[in-house]
Amino acid sequence: MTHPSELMRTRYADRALPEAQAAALQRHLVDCADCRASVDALIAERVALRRALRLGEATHELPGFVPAPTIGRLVAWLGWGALGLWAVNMAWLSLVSEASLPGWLRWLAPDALTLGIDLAVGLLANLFATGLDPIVEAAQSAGWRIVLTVLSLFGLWLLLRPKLDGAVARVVPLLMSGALVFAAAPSHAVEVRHDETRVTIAAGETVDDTLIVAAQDVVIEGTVTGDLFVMGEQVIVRGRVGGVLVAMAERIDVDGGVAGSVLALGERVTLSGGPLGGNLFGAGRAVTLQSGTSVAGNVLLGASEVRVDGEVGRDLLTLAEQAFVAGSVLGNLDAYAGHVELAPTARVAGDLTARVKQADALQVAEGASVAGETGVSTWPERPSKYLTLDYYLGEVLQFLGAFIAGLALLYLFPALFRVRLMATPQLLTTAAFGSVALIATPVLAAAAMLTLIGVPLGVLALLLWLVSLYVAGIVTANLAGRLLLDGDDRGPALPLLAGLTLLFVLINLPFVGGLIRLVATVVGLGLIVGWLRDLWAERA
Amino acid sequence: MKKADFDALYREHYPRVFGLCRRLLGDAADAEDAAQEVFMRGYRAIRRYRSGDPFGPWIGAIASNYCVDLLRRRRRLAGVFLDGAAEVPEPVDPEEHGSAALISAHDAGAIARAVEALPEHYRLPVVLAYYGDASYEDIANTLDITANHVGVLLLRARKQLRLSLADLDEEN
Repeated sequence: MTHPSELMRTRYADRALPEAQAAALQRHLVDCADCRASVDALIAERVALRRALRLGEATHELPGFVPAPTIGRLVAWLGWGALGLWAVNMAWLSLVSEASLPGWLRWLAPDALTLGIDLAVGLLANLFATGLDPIVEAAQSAGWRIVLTVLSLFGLWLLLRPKLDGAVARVVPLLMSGALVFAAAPSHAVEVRHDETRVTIAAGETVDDTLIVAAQDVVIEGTVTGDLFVMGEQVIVRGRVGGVLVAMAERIDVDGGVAGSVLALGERVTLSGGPLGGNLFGAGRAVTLQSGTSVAGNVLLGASEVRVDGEVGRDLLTLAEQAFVAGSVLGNLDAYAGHVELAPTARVAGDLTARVKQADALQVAEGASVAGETGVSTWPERPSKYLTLDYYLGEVLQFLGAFIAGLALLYLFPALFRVRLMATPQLLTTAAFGSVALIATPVLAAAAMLTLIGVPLGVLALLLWLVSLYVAGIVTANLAGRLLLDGDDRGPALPLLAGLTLLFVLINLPFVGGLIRLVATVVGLGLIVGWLRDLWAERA
Repeated sequence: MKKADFDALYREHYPRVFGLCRRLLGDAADAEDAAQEVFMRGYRAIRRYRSGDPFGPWIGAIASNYCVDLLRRRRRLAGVFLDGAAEVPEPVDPEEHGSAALISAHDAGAIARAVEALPEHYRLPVVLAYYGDASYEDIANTLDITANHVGVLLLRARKQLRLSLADLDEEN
């Protein structure tokens, strides 16, 4: 009979031959002294190799073993941290706020809670009213912050590696949540006032803190020494504000003096009376700076109608459909507008630059004075965003952000990037999962926020949801890249890069880009859900 | 499983796991990190370990996969195990017969050094098979190749070892 091949003999010596073949070879060995000697030598070789490789094995010193927190424990810690943060915040709020509840019940109705519910409900209503686009955009713009978050989580993970001893591993999350608590608590006192219908700071009243107010009608006639943040339907500020004024409302009237800058967002914003010590940023449908009002700093106004009768201490920049200037501007006047009109009383100490649709859209009345040069340039008819440098720079930044985040995720959760899609039905199932996750998460989060205990959970869920919207695109891009490179094993970064490039090109296509972005997000979310499900099944 | 129980397993199996990592990665400092990470993964995945089974092979498999993954990530393995054995050149064997006795005739230190000097695509299967006591199938899974390919690589690795030990003899 023929002798078994060397490969067969080696496999036999390594006990790696299937039973039937091993038996046949064994029968051959009985009659063949050469092969017997060879097999014996191969076995001796295996034993010698084994012995040699185990040399010095026991001499290595045993380092201590400190288990780093498991993901579950880490999440639990984060959860406790968030809960603690919330509790401290609430306790602190109930100490400083003047709720009308009896003291021992104050924690039941903290202002921030009602505010949180309002915000959540508003968000939800907004979601149904305007569709997902603004949120997807918000998630996109939050990209950088998410990159930072991922990086800091990565740093945390590095910190929690087993080489650090137990005390450090335990203290770090504690310090982190402590830092969060302190980061969340403002350095000086804040007063919060909230009411369904009306909050008034009476003329004689002085609030010696930063004040946050939310109500349907807000009237500030007294003095606020700190910053004033106010939200409502109608906001009137007649008193004095020692710091910055931030107002968001349908109607905003600022009649008093503000020492700091003013940011006013509303349908109708009117500034009259008292001097403003800082800059003014106003946006809305109609923004008016009335006669007798002076702003010490720069003024930036974006509105459909802008009217400046007062005095601007430095430059005035306006973006408007209609811009009307009758007051004085001590710096330059820049107007990007459909129509710009300077009344006879208008005074511009610097240059006047108007960027208008047609050259005749700038009207300077006789009597109006411009000390510097007057320049008019016309808008090109709706310049394509694809022709601006900013657009490409922004895309490149977003791309880099996505790539860095993708690499970090790839390193942290390699399994998330190994997911595969084989067939169309699977793609459809995945997309279905993704759609459910896309819609159900914010709804459930908002529902959770209706209960007291659910608020931190709801906030956490919303944050995770926003993060996963961002991650979803990256996961889809990675999948596309792997399909594109067809199992090419040149490391994980290449498919990610290829996929992201493809995705960025596709989502920026005119007309279909938005749809592609939605599909990519839905598929990615589905992949994430599938991955989590596998993870769960693996643990069970 | 309690932390104390896991500690006992750790003390018992650390030397083997560390040794395996060192042979696979070829560097003691890397191996120390890797061994810690391997036990960390074992600790996290302990629910998947059935307490009746021997712990050694279970943690050994984690160690093998982790180290090979690590090497892969470092790109040192790129492409080596992708295709059939045909691509790996066969070392020239000076004596076709009786050469298997050559390795056994050398002292353990010389053999260990010769294994360390093997190219990665030979060293990994040798370490997994003869140190980690892994079956061809397990090695095939870890390296993402076929069991038959494992056999071919091991055979060639042995030939290469014989060759380098024979060279060593000639030098002396």
